[in-house]
Amino acid sequence: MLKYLFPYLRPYRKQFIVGPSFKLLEAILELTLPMMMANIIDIGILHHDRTYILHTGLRMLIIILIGFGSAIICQYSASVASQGFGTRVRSAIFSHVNHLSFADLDAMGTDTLTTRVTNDINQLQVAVSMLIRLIFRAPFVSIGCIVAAMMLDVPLSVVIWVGVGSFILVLSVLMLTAFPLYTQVQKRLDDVAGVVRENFSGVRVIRAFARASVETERFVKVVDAHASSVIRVTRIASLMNPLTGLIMNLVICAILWFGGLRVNSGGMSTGQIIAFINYIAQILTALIAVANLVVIFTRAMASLRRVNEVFAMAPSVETEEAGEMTATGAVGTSAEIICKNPGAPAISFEGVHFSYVENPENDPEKNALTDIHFSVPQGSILGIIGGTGSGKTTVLSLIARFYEEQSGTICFSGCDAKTLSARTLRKNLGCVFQNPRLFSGTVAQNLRWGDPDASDDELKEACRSAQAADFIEAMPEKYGARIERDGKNLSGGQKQRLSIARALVRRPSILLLDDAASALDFATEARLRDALASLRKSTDMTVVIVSQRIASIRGADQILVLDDGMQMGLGTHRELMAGCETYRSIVLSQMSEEEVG
Amino acid sequence: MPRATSMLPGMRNLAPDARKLGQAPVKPSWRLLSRILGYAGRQRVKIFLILLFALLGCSLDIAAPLFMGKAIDAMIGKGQVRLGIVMQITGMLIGFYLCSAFFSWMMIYTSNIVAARTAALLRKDGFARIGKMPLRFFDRSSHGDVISRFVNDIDAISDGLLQGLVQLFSGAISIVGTMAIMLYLSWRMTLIVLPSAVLTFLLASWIARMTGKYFRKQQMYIGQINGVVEETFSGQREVKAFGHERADQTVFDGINSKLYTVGQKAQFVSSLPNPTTRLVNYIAYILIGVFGWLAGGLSIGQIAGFLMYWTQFSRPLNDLTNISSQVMAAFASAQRVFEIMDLPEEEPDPADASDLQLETVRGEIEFSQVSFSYEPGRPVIRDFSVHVQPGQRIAIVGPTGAGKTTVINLLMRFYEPQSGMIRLDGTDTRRITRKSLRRSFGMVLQDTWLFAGTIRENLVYGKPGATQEQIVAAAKAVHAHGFIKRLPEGYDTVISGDGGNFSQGQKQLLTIARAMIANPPMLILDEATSSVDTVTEIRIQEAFALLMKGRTSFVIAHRLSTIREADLILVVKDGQIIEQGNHPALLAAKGFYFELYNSQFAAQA
Repeated sequence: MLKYLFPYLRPYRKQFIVGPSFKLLEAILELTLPMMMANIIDIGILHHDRTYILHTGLRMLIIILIGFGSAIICQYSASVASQGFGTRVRSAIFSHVNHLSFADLDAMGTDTLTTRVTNDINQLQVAVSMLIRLIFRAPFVSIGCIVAAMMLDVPLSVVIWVGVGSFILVLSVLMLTAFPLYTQVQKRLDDVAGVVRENFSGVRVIRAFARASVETERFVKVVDAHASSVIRVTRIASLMNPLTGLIMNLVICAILWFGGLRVNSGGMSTGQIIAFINYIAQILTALIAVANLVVIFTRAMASLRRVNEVFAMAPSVETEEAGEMTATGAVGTSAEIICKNPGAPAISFEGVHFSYVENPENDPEKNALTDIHFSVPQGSILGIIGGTGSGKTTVLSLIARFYEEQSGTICFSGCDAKTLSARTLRKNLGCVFQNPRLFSGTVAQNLRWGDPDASDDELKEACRSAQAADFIEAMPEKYGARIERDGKNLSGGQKQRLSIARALVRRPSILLLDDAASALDFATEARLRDALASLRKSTDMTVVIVSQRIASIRGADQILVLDDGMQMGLGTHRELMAGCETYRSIVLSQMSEEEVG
Repeated sequence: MPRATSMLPGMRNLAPDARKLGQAPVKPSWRLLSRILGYAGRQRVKIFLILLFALLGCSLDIAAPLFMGKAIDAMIGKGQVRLGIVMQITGMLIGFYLCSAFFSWMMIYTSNIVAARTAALLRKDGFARIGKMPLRFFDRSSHGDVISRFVNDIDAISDGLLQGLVQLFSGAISIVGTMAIMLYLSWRMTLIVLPSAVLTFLLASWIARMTGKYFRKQQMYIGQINGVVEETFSGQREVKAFGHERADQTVFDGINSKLYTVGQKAQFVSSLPNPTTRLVNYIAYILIGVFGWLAGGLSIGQIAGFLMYWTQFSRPLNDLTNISSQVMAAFASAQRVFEIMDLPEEEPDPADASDLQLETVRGEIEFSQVSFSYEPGRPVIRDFSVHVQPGQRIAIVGPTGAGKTTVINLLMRFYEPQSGMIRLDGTDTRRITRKSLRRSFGMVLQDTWLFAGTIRENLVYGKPGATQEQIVAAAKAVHAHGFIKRLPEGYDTVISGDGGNFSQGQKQLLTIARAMIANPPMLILDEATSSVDTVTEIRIQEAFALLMKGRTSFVIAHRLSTIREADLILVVKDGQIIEQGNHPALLAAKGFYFELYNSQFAAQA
């Protein structure tokens, strides 16, 4: 259970030893107190020995002072270890998720991941802290008291054994019943977070359709479900303390009765009975602590399982170790060349099949892409066009190595993509996706996602090419202007241009544009095309454009026509107009005969 | 108040007033407490029961040791034990303890229920308030942080505050009752040990105040982490594409280590009360044992009883000091929760606002000299005027950022203009209820939003009573019916959160169908078909043409085909309408539109 988390506990070995040990010391010292009190009564008071009483009192005082110091040390260790552990795990899990594949991320969902990184780790932290503070003390005090009681009088201590035994029984039953219920509570909490999140991201639609009341109903349902699962747990968990107390109090009653008999028969003294009762009181406190510990642990177990689930997901496409990177710069670029074949095409697809779902028999129905083949020389433009769902974005995803092809070969500069590290490959890619995402920060910070070391001039240059410079310069803070979450304070076209600039800052050897100009008017897009054309000439950049508009890809060196994942045509505009029916129909739907020319 | 200049997402991007969120010191004021209790107060019967059970249970617990003392007094020595008395008392005690356990269980159970329901109520109320907030709030706040408040902070309130209060109450009863009996047994002894109780209390309060400071900071950092996590996890495509993992990690670790520093201190300090009070208690314990007979003149049995009482007295005292730190943490959370709930709401509709009947809306829209900016000093729309006749199709074109989406924001009253007026059918839109105004527009946005539900549920979002025929007809009209039927569960297929399992184009078709089903009198289309291929788009346009017949529609588009067919084209540049007219007229005018139109051929040279 702990195999994933163990490395984060290990740095705190010292605290795990020091803390409980000092707590143990404190517990041992505390144990002696009832005995000494018994002596005060039996020896001091009975024999009217003042000095003895005072001396014993003094000794007790010293003992508790030492105990206090030990407790402080333990608390400190506990705080360091538990918080430190929590911090490390949080960092590790964040890093882990950041490296997961899309399939995994989709499977889990952002909401539950967020809850697991915060709420669940919190539960674990609490558990660790309690562990250090109580793991030794509570059981030790219980056992210690039992032993001490036995030392006083064996026959009577049987009663204590019976009590403790029943307590353990009750505890186990309660915990086993409660565990699955705690898991449910955490899951319902996920749902609550989910609805809130949706209401944030979809607020415009919700208000446009005047559906606020429906959303409120949804939320109410989810919140009530959570509350009732909490209550269900409570029915069981709330029995813990009262039952524990009852058991031990009944033990006290038994001690009174049997103890009375023992005193009568001369086997025990009154002072010893009082000590017995004192010990029971201490055992009770310790047991209640154990009971609460168990509750915390049960909750923590549920969280542990959820955290483990995240760690168990292994990233699928990252091949870090494979492939050697060479750093020969080509003329005009600062990006690394992916591999060493200068004459080879920048990108080539050969017989590539891909499907998002499991497709062992290669059933073409399920394929997102079937038998795709093309080859893009360095420095040229490939345009991709096709209907909705024809697989255009999928091709880009494969190039960016977000997914891996099931069969066929994808090569970059002549090297098989499977032998290359995805991360290094992406360093040479500039990607502009559909509905690009911007992040909270300044314009400059967003641009530097492309290259953290880019100078201000390089940023400006990229913006000029992307036709973004004018609106940025128009803002009072210019490149320091704030961008709200996901660029909500920019128009769609501004977002797109900024994203293009971000990709250009990278000085990529391959630029991927997925419907990147859809929000731009024709004039701006034309200027963008010009800028990209001159950029290509000076840097030998390869460009792949996916678009719906014939105007955007008409000038490409090659155009790939897709329909339903299948390759319908590959060639220049003229070639395709002559030989590809699918292409012709698309063109004619957008332009009149004479505009086609 | 120092400006937040740190590089952290979430905090930095709130509007100036909202940036101050989380900076106020925690004041466990009565006002805060009574607000929280207000939510709990709706379960009055249960609360009364809790108090009753606490009272009963505690009384029994208090009385028990008295009798125990008497039983011990009856055990004087060998052969001198008065078994009759011992048996009697033992029997009575068994009864006491059984009842006490029952009351204790009922008290805990009931208080947990109250806590859970209060938390639920807080969440619901908070959600309702958020529903009334202006769009500015949604556009600007850190989603993750707000979610954290709903999830983590409210949990802290119910765990800490409410449980704490119950224990506070039962603890108080124990303490008072036990004290009374101790005084009865020996007022001298009580006086000796009382100072320790006072000392304990003072120490605990001082520690509690210190922890409050740390807890507030801790919760703040947790909120920030939530913000980073949410943004990074939902933006994974860009994060991976730009290899930004490491940079994100650095930001995360930065907040994380601050969280550690604060959290460790908070935890350590908040755990101090326990050993401290234990120390003080033991000192009193020793004093009892040493001076009970020496100075107090107590019998052995009385000492035994007194010791028991002292244990009974100190346990709740101990618990109370523990609770205090939990309560402080809960106050810090409560403050965060109410902070959000107290943010200013959207101005409500005026009392005499008219509620539109959708069937009677003609669709005549007039903008009169409207000016608007999102942020002061950065005007987006200046002095905008246009008069739209019912049933007209208006295309809005222009370079990006020219203010086209803003027109929509204003029409729908997502934002309010700073000056000027917008009229619908001659009535100022500010005098129409927002709800009815918004429902009269069918909106298809650039941003396709679908929620986690079935396709059918999403489609009927705007018109829950739609029949299957209506649904299928709309789906067929937008050519979505085909791909829906091909799915394993057809219309009952569940769309995963935010539509992850559908392509952009498919999502757009669904949102268009959704608008069709809602059948509104007017339409707003914001580049709706840009992600759909042109073949399909033509079919949709035909369907729209049918839909738009007789309905006023605003279309923000770049497709020449869309623009060509419009009754009126508004050419927007730099926030001004520089040209108005239909396609042939504008071409003939050879102005900006003419240039724009011709530029699509420019690059083909």
